[in-house]
Amino acid sequence: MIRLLQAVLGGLLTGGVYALIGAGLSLIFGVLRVINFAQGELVMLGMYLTWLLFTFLHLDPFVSLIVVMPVLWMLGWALEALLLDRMHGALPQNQILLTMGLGLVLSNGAMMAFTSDYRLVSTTYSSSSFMLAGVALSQPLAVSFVLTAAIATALWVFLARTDTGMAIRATAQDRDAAQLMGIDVRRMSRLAFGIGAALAGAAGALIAPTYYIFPQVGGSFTLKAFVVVVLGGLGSVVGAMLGGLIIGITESLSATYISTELKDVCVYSLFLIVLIARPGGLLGKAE
Amino acid sequence: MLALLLAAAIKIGVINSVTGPEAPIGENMSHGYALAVEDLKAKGIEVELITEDDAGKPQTAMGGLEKLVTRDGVAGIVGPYTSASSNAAARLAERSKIPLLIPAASKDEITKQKYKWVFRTSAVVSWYAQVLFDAAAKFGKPKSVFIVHENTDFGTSAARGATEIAKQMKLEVLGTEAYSAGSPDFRPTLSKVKAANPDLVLFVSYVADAILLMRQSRELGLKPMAFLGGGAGFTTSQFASEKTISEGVLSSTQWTEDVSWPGAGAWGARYKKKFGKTATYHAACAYESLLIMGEVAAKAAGDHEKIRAALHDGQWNGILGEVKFADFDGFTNQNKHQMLVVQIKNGDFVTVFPEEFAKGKAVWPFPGFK
Amino acid sequence: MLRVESLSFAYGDAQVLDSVSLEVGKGEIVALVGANGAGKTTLLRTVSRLVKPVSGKVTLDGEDFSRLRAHEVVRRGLIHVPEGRRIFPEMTVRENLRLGSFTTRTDRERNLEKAFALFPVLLAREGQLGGTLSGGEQQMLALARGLMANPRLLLLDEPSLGLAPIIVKQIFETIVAINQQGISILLVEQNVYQSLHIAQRAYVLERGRVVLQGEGKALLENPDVKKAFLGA
Ligand SMILES: Nc1ncnc2c1ncn2[C@@H]1O[C@H](COP(=O)(O)OP(=O)(O)O)[C@@H](O)[C@H]1O
Ligand SMILES: [Mg+2]
Repeated sequence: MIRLLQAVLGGLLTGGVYALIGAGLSLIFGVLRVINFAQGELVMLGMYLTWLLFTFLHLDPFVSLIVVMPVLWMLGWALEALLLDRMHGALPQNQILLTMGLGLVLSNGAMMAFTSDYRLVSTTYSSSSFMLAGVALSQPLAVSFVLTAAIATALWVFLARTDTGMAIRATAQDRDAAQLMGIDVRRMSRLAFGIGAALAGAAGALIAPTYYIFPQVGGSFTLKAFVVVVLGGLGSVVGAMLGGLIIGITESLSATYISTELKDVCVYSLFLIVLIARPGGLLGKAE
Repeated sequence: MLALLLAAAIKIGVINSVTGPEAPIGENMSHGYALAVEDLKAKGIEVELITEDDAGKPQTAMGGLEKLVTRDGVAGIVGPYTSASSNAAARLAERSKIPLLIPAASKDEITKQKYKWVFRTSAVVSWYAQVLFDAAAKFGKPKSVFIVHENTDFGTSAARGATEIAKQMKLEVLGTEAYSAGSPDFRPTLSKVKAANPDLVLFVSYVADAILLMRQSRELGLKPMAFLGGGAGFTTSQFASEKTISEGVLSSTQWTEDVSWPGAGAWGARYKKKFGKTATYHAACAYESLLIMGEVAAKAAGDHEKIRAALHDGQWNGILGEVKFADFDGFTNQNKHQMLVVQIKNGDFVTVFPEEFAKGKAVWPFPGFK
Repeated sequence: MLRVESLSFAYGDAQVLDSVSLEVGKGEIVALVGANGAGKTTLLRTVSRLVKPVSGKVTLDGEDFSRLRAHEVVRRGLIHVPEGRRIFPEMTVRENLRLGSFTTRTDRERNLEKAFALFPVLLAREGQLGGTLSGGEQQMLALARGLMANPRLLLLDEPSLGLAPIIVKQIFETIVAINQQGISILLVEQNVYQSLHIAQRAYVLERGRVVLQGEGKALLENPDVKKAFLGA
């Protein structure tokens, strides 16, 4: 029982980070109809920024969110304005190449700037835990989960309640109709890419204290985010959140009860089963 | 004529991972080679080193070896670094009848193929666990072990070796878990370890995962008699400097600066002064290997067959301790290199086993995380 | 107020609009009729700047549109209610209406009241997702959403398409009512009879060209129009 609880809670806490990365990817896809294959590299940049702030300014990684998110937001905005905006309406395969190329540039840039050495953000609480009814809850993961929940709630309120948030959703649902409402859809694309990048950066800052940082770290996050987003339904932000938590819990349960080595197999099996049963993903519409 | 021959520099080839993912380790090895060239020169042996970069790739390593043999006509070759490259290069060296001395690759199979022309200085991966279990048996009376390893070539063969040795030593293996590198969450795996409650926990992993494994072990409150690190990640200074989690961890290694092998300490100090970094076992193995190859090649005046015979029959004693390329247990031309056990104390490595090389007393059992 | 001068448009090599000129005066209902594929929708999309013309000029009260983007046109009071309604299916009726007032936030509450007064059924459905409404309700929502933006000129693209006759009648009555509030209307329709009835003036488009123009009622009597559209 304790093992089950440990597995579920642990998975939930790790899944929170996947949820953030996936939500950003899904938002970008919804508005731009482009899968951002550089999403993981944006996480990587968030991690390095957190590491820089921690190492040179002794800023706590969780506090550094207030720097990392705006910086990544601006970067995302600029990338959209300078690169993706020009590609609007281009062939999908060219857009894929563009974001993949962007990812390569970012990871190789990081390699030149930071070398390929592993970097660590070792805080005093990096390996601390709370004991809760026999279950050891990682302290940094618990804090990061609370912050993830706060960011997710803020995102939801923004998208559901504010005019700008609704304009973003409208752009995702029908780009032409959105323009006829007086919405500047190119601005919405920038905004969405900015928010997606900020979410990736936030995820980077949140995992920095419990993970390690190197230039190629983004690749696995891109892959995971892609799985999370397809599972939840392409373009659905809430679906991506749900997908992230499900993947986190599945990983944890399969590592606990089956085998560590087979956990990826379990995750992808679940992924395939869901897609066969619901081709549009959990919260998406079947095409 | 003879004088001319003596004066001309002897050509030795080096294959190394100068670029690619293994470049950081390749760099350590280059430093080792540089020091060896200096020391050979001091002995009156002029060596012309011709380096081929394999970027860690077997195909490139084979191409490099080909070039060194046909284009440059080298007397012998030292390298490559990675097991995959070394395995490929070994096959080609055997066919080309060129002496190949592999300094630090660890996969067992490389010297288990009855090759006549292939020699290896470093210990093989299946011995990593042996020395750790020997040390544990000497310090206490462990009865069981749980093995967690990376699912790479290195990790898997180390774990396989460990399982066999555990059986021989009547250590019960309570579980073996393989993981793929780069997973942020080892907690489910470690809760299994915790539930099994083994006396020894053996981790085989590279540096980044080594740190995560220990951090999360601390989170979950694991408290075995000892944490054993199977080389790689556990012997890096980056790992050691994470004091809250590294304190008391025992790890196997091929070389340390404080070991009592001839000249090791002074060599380590010289290395640090010259390159601004602590010397690693890779650097030491590279240094010693080139030193041996240089001496032998000079004496044999570049004759391949004579070099091979000299490597096979010779014996050396330097910063790696005694080196002798012997045939045993299915190995050929394999140095029976003595592995060491170090324990991390306050961020530093202290050699604690075997006794004759030990510089400090081991802390046993693991007192628990601070 | 709206002047379209020699407007041409092509999809690749396919010429869709060939030097079309037309005008909508203040307070007018002007009908634009023509067979399927004549280029009516394309004309409206060009006027509202969703697509850019190959040549020609559009002005509203003298202001040239050629440098404007679609969302900027909205702020000038030209509102395009597109073919197929294009409501946001995954948003509620109220959210759709709120988006309609994206550029007119200060008048939002007042406009909302007016919209609900004009289409009481929308008030009853305000929490329902747009995609779940019936065709007639969706068309009413599209009209109401257009009205939220304080239009001076409405471009309506086939508002009666696919609706039951009784609903069609209701929609045409509403269009007249909207016009009586002083809003000019450019009405694209296949329902030629009813459109020419309510329109002061009308244009007939054929393969991208204006082939006939005149007063609405007069065109009803035109033998060519009768033959082509009124089944006589
Ligand atoms: N996206 C498009 N690409 C190519 N041709 C198109 C496109 N949209 C419309 N057309 C063509 O342009 C012509 C005019 O279409 P449209 O303006 O929709 O006519 P209408 O609204 O009068 O029925 C038609 O021949 C149609 O096939
Ligand atoms: Mg049409």
